[in-house]
Amino acid sequence: MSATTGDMAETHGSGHTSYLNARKGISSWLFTVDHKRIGVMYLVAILSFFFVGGMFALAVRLELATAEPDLFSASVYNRLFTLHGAIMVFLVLVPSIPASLGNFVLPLMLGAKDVAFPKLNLASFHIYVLGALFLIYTLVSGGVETGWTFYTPYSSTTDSSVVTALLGAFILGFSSILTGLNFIITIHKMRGPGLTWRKLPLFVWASYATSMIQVLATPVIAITLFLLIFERTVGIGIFDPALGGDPVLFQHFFWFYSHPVVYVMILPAFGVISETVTINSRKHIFGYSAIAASSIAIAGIGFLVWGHHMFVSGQSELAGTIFSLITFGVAVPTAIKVFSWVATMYRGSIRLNAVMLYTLSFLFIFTIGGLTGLFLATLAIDVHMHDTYFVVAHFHYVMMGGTLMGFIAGIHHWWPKMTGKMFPEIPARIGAVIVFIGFNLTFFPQFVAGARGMPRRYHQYAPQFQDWQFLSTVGAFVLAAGLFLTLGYLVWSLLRGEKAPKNPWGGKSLEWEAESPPIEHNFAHQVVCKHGPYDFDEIDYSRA
Amino acid sequence: MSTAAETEAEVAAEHPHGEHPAALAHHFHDLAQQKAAVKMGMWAFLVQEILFFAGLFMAYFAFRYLYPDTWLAAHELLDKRMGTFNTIVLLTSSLTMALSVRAAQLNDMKSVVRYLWITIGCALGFLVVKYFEYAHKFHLGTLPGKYYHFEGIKGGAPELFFSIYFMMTGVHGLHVIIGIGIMIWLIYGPIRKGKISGEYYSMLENVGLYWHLVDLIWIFLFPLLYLVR
Amino acid sequence: MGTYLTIYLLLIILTILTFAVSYAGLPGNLSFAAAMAVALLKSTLVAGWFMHLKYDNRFNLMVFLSAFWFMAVFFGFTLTDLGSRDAILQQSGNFAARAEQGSKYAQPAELLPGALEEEGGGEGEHH
Repeated sequence: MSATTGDMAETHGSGHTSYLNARKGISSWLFTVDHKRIGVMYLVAILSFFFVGGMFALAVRLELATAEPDLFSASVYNRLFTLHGAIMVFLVLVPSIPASLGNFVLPLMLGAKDVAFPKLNLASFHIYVLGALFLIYTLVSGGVETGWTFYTPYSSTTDSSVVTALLGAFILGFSSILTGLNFIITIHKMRGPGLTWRKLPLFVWASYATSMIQVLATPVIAITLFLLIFERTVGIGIFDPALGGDPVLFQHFFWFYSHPVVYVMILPAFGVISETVTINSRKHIFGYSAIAASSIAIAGIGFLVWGHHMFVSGQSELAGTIFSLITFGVAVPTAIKVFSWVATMYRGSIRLNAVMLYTLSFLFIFTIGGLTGLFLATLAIDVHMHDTYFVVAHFHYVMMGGTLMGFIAGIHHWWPKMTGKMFPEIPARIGAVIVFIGFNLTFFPQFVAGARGMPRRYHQYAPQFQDWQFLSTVGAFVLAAGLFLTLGYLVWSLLRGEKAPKNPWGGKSLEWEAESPPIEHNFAHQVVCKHGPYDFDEIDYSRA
Repeated sequence: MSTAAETEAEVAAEHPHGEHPAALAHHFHDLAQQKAAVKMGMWAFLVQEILFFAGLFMAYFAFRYLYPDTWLAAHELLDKRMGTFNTIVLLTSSLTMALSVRAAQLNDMKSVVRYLWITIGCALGFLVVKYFEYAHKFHLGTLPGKYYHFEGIKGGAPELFFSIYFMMTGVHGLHVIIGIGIMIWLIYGPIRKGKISGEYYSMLENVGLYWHLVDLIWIFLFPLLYLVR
Repeated sequence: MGTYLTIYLLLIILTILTFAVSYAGLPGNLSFAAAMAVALLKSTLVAGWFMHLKYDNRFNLMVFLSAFWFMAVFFGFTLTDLGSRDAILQQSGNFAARAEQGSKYAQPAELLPGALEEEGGGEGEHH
């Protein structure tokens, strides 16, 4: 055994026994309670499902390149975009940063040996895989064509594999709840000596806010999907107007979760950006308290705005007005963050590496996404824009340009810590640029098409939108190329990458005090937090 | 050196022989931290259970608002006495569960098990009464949604009332069954293996919290379904 | 032990009270309010004493109460919607319908015969 360990250490280049080679064999991974291994397994799973969801996206984009329905029938097309949405939302975006990066980094940042409930963490992972299997199974059992939003009465009466999809999403919800629960207790109870709330890295604050939402909102979608299953099988009738029910009630149920869930998706990305923008500007974060408080504020206010998805559903005017007003409010804490990050960069010593390029991409793209959200929050405008490509562009800007850019930035930022390898910087920067160009080329034309009236979820559309849609399709392939390049050099780095030092970026939060990659128990001795997470040596803290 | 040995060495260094309580998990510093964390975790879990049931209560309130006369008419078909009896049974089970936890605090494991069995007994009693109620409804034809075929109410949407009745009491009943299962597991698993004692009884306490929540939900279900007027 | 039994007794009394009151024939809203008030009281007893919240870390209480706050948000906004739907119907729609008598806005729109011939290949496909 020690001979193998020695060999591994040589090829691995780590020189020490890390969590990666501490135990051998597939069961040591499948039954691990090590948060780092669980994080890695989630990362592999999430990226795999991102690939599947992405393939569906490319299929959709191929069809939409021309105004005529040349590739797929309407029925197949509806299944493509439904599964694209469901996979991307439930299997990729919701778990993305928390389950992979959060699981890996959070205990390290807290100076802890693991999360509060390691076995529950493993259970979360297996529950995720089970839910994913149900969703993926719908691909072979005939698919679902209701849209990922499952609106009734169509979803309660159509013949397709809706129940399988609902079961998948229901199960996935529990994975999310348990992860959130675990993180909340971990942050409250597992902080190392010296780590007060005010010394926590902002990624931790972001994870806390995210976890709050996961625990509070997810059970509501669980009961919604549960009720929808009974609606379909037993005909309970509460969402079906033909049986005396109210389809708008379904939308209230659905969006009560699905709006806060977008904050589950974006808050961790905000957390990553707080880390990367400070390290790569060699500057203390501007407005630490404001950013920490705004994370909690977004989590709270985010629960009060779900009706902005329902302005044209038949909801009352009064409700619409109230939701519209409060939605404007939720933009405020978000804007505070963006201003703070930009202020952090001002007069900083900026290092334009790949991580920073993704960070800047995020700032640019997410801001556009957020601002267009304000248009949609305006009831009078949304009446025209609802269900057009403007909405599609908006949410891809915030979810893909936001969450995904944050995810990729985070993967690069913590790659040396997780794998013990450095990724090659030049291909990474090239990848970042291609992704940025591809992303904007894909989604900006969609704003134009949508503003000019092109409806969403149509595979055949009026010819005046064709040029914009064609551009968008070209962009999608550029984006895909950039992402494949990224995947390529990351995998390459696992085999041939330079050995990573403990602290390649000069970070000050506790995870950088662990080895790259960390030993199984994270730290050889209990680390004590003696300074703030952004107290870079270059800055004079004599006043503090 | 193999890593399993490394781990043990690390652990031994941190916890000199004899200072390591059996219940302490290795990622916690001490039992106090572990107990506090485990309890807080359970409360967070209860929060999500509450929000889960909230959906059912929302459906109830939405349709009570939309069909008030249906609610008045349909609820007459529920037996208030059985409902009240069941409420008392669940409250009793909550008492015995609290007494079980108290017994654990006093390290009286025999009483712990005795009170747990009484709790299970009450829970089973609840289910028996529920069985009679459901059987009566099957007999009458007041079934959920498309299976409703009772002739005795004209107009309105009584099938919706019964859909909601069955969903709410059904999901609640499912939680009762799960609770019974967990209590039986506790008795034959951790308690029999000596893992629960006056020093560390968090597992029992958490099951208690779960059970009290099941009772809390019924405390609201009862007046809403059975005592509309 | 004594405390537990006292709380239990209170709970039983409150239950019997709710049951008895339901026969009193109170008007709808009052009956509902009374039943909910009693249920709330019973919950406080169970949560405070049986679940030890009274003696526990204050944070656990906040966690517990937060669930009810968000539940209240869900109920409040949804019921506001359900409760104000009629408003649209009662006011027969929009500002146009409430326009002054005699102004052109008060008259129903009518497509005049021959109007369509003027349009070209209409591209006004407005959503």
